Amino acid sequence: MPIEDFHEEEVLEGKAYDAHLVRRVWKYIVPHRRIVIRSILLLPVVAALQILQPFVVKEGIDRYFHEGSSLGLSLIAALFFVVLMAKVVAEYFQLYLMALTGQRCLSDLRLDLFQHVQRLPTSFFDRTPVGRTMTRLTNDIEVLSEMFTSGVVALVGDFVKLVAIFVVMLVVQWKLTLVTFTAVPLVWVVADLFRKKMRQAYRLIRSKIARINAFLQESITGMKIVQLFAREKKNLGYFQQINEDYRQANRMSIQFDALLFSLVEMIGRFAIAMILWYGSGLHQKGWVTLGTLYLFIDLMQQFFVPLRDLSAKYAVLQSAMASLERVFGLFDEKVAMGGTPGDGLALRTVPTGITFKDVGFSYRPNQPVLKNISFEVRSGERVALVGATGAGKSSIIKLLVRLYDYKSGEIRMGGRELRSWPLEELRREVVVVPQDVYLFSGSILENITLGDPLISAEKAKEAARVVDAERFILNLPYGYDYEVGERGATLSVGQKQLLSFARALVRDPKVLILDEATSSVSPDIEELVRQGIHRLMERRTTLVIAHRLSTIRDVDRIIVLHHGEVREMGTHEELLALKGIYARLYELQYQLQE
Amino acid sequence: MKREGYPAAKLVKGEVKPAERLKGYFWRYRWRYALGFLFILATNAFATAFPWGVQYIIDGMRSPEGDKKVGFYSLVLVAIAVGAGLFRVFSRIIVFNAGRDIEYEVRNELFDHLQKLPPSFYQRYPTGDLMSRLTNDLGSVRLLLGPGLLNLSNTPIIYLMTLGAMAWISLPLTLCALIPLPFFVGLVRWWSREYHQRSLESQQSLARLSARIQENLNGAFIVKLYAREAAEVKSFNKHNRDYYETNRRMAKMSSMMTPVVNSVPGLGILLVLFFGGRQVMAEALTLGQFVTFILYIFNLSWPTFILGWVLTIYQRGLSAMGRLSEILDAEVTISPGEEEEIPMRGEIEFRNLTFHYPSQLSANGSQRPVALSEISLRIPPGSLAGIAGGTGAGKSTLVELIPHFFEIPQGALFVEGRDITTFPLQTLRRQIGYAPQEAFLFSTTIAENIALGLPQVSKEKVEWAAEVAGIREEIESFPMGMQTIVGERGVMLSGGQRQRIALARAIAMEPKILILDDSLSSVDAQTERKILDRLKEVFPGKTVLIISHRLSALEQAGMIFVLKGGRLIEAGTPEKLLRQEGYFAELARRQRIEEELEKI
Repeated sequence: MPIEDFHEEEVLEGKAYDAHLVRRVWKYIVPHRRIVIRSILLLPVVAALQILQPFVVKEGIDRYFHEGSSLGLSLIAALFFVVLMAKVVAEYFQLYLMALTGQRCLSDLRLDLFQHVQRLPTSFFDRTPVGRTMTRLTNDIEVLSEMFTSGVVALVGDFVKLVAIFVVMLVVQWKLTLVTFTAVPLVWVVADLFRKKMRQAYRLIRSKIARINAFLQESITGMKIVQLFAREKKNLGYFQQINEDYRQANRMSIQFDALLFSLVEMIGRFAIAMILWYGSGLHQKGWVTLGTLYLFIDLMQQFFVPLRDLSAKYAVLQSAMASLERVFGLFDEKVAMGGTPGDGLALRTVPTGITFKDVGFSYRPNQPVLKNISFEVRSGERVALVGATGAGKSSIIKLLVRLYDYKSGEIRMGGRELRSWPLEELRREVVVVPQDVYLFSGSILENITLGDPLISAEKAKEAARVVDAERFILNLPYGYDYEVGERGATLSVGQKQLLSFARALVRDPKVLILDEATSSVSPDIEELVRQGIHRLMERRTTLVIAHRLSTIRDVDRIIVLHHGEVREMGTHEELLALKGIYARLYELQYQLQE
Repeated sequence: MKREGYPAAKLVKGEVKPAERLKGYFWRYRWRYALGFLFILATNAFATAFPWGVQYIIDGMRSPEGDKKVGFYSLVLVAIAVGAGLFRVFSRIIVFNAGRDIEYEVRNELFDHLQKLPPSFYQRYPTGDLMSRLTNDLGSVRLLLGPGLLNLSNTPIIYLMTLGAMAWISLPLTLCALIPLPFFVGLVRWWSREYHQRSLESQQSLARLSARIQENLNGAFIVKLYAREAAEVKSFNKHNRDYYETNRRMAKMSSMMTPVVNSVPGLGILLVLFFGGRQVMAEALTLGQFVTFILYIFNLSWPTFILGWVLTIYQRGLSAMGRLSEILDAEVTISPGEEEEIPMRGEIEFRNLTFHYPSQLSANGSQRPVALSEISLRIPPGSLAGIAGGTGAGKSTLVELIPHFFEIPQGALFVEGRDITTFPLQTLRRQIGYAPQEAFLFSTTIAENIALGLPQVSKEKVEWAAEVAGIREEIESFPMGMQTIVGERGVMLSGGQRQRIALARAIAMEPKILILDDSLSSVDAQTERKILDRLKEVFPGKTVLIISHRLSALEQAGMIFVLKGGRLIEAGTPEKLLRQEGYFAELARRQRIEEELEKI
């Protein structure tokens, strides 16, 4: 039972910034640099317009409140309105351009990642649950979009704003600024202190939740054993305990979080008290106007706004980094070996004999699946592979279409080493009809052509006719345009097999590899399937893993595999006369069909 | 109204509405929430007092003797800031912790309930789905009951207090400042409608994209075999582009929200400047009051800003609670019953039992394949019984019914002469040792795995059980011995080793009934033989049920029951069955050929 490892996913170190990862994302941003630059250029504009607002109010207070100029006041108000609207527009474009960049990058990234996954070797799909790869391509990339909209750039924007406010205040009244900002270093000290504590707390929380999830996952998958061994009470006790640990860890972070939030706010108020207290002294001396005091109070309010949700932004970055790490982890999976470029010789044009010479293969080290396999299939010959489960039949097929590469020995096809044929050409000319038919959602026709533009509808229908699939297809509503549901649930096993034959036949391959389905079909379809197989094999080099007596009798030669070795070879009659492995297999697997 | 004839496979009662359930949790913590609410009230009282103090200082500055008062008022401001801060800390801690405490309780509740649910439930809900509910959905509920509730109560309080203070200073000016509000509300409503529409489109597009990816990954094999990679990428990119397009349209809307919301206090200030400024000139309003007014507008901007977020949290939390309720409301169809002492000798009897899996509905809906039909058999206490049959004959189903693993009809299965539907579940299961073919080991130590059915890990028992299962020496050859961790992070065990550890687990319980469900299939015939001999030695007089594909294992049984297609077709001693030349004899013949093949 494969256990999807939640543990591993949760425990990833939560860095908020990882230069290495960011460099890799950078590659995706560069093509859209013109939008990014425009967005970044807007940042100081937004900050300036923001700061300009209290300036306008200050002018209003200082110039017109005393004079009592009603016209002046109206002008100031109009100016304020213009600045305000300009800021709305600038901020809108700044945010939109950034979000647009994000979506473009993510679209590119998603496409790249999907392309990469298409090129991954079979072994990757063997060991990785579909759900995990799905998550990389969807959720993990979704998380990144937040990084663009409220992550890095927002932080930069905040920083620009903070610096701008500070500089402007300095220019306006440096003494008052310095006194006011005596409170600000306090923020940094407090924030820094808390940041360390918080990081510890978050780390603790993550490890505790990972434990909960791992335990949950295992309990659910192993629920049968838990229940049959009457383990529920003990497990509940353990679960309550790790749940309690998690709660305690959260308590800690809640305390820090509440303290930090309140302290930042409190210091903001201190700063205003400071402005008023020290500012009133300066005002008495006539060094600052009341308008300036207003300006300072307003700016100070704005100064503390970004500090308030700093930790939220930090969290966004943290989870974005974790997602990035997972996404690029998938990128780092090595792709399958591509074929060497051809030298003009096409597999299509040469006789396609197959030779296995001392071929050895294993999925895992020290567990050989194939040992010293040697045999030959002449061009146009039909050969059956038989053997008990685990004898190595399907492994031979997988090597032949290079879903895996053999470890030792040599396979030749069309007189050349298998690996020297370009992969795509090889798979075009060597077509496998697998045991289980996988149908894609789409029409019947699309399931025959599999989206190959070189296959016309006429050719596809012709193929369906030859394998006698057309009869049932035309009985479906909409015929060839009938939409197949997920996993082809609406078609019977036999119908699916016929469809799969048509799919193979329309490609007119030079080599056919047939992994016969073991499942039985209804007698009327059985005859169709038998004839279909017969037509498929005509004039082609064929290798078949046979489960049907009829197929066994249809082939020219039989190769008997046993424990990963070729043990017997010959025609049906010859092998029976041998009274060896084949004779016994025949008794077990085929005799009942008579 | 009394309703009768509930179908047995009914899973979801759906009696409690999610909102009711949420209220229930809230009510359980009402005093803490009430206290939190008081603190929020206090916090905001201080927060509202602060600008009021500012007013005194500014107005004081303009009067000649006010100079002295400035120092005093500044100190008052500091005190107010400290007060607001203190109450803020506690209000957040109290409310957030309540959310976390509820999360803790619900998580325990969910786990407790999950452990009681029958296999039919787990067939309906895949592991990934349940995990997502227990992590994501529970998180959403927690967010609602913590920060969600805090801000939900915070916002109206701030509005009431701030607007009250503003009106105290000048009612007309307050009304002026509120002019943009109706427009704003209208704008937000338009915006949320549009945004909702576009995010729906985006969600739908994502769903299509995900379906495409899933199909591609599931069909990875065929994609490779038919070299369809390029076509797949093309079709993926069509969906990818479409998704990008919907996201772009959504970004157009979402980017609007922040600037618009940010401009709200600006508009307020504009109006105060325009109207308030005139009043200041007319000396109907002091400059201090003017500044205080603006500070109040600042105070209002944060709760306005966060309101949209709170509404989202509320919606999300409610639907998440709905999904959690589905688990909590799932019916416990196998009720545990009160535990009691029942002396067991190990007698089992099936009386005309017909069984089908509760949730296994075929695609067209109605027909349920029968797993077992009309089984009648009796296994006397202390006997060794074999069960034989081909794949899918119903052997595993038969033995899994004995510990009452599935819902079964009354009057069909008796242990110790007692109908198992009335047998206390824990009492029954404690007396049954079960070793399956698919050995499931937990990622903990081997010792813990073996001691799974024991009240606590006992070194002696674990070692003894491992010895009987013929695995002790192998385990002890590991560097960590019995303390070796099993699983992805630990040692990789072979299939045979896993099976024997699972067997040791069943043995360690010293059960009255031992069930070996093909549990030594990955062990060679000789070792199996040895283990079975040892078992007979240490468990004299215990009932043992063996399912095996190996003739050699079945031959030791006193009685063999042969199943085919869910029916009992032959029964008797091995000798008798072999002589009879029926189905069992055929199975035996095939088995012999297979064994011969193995040896070649």
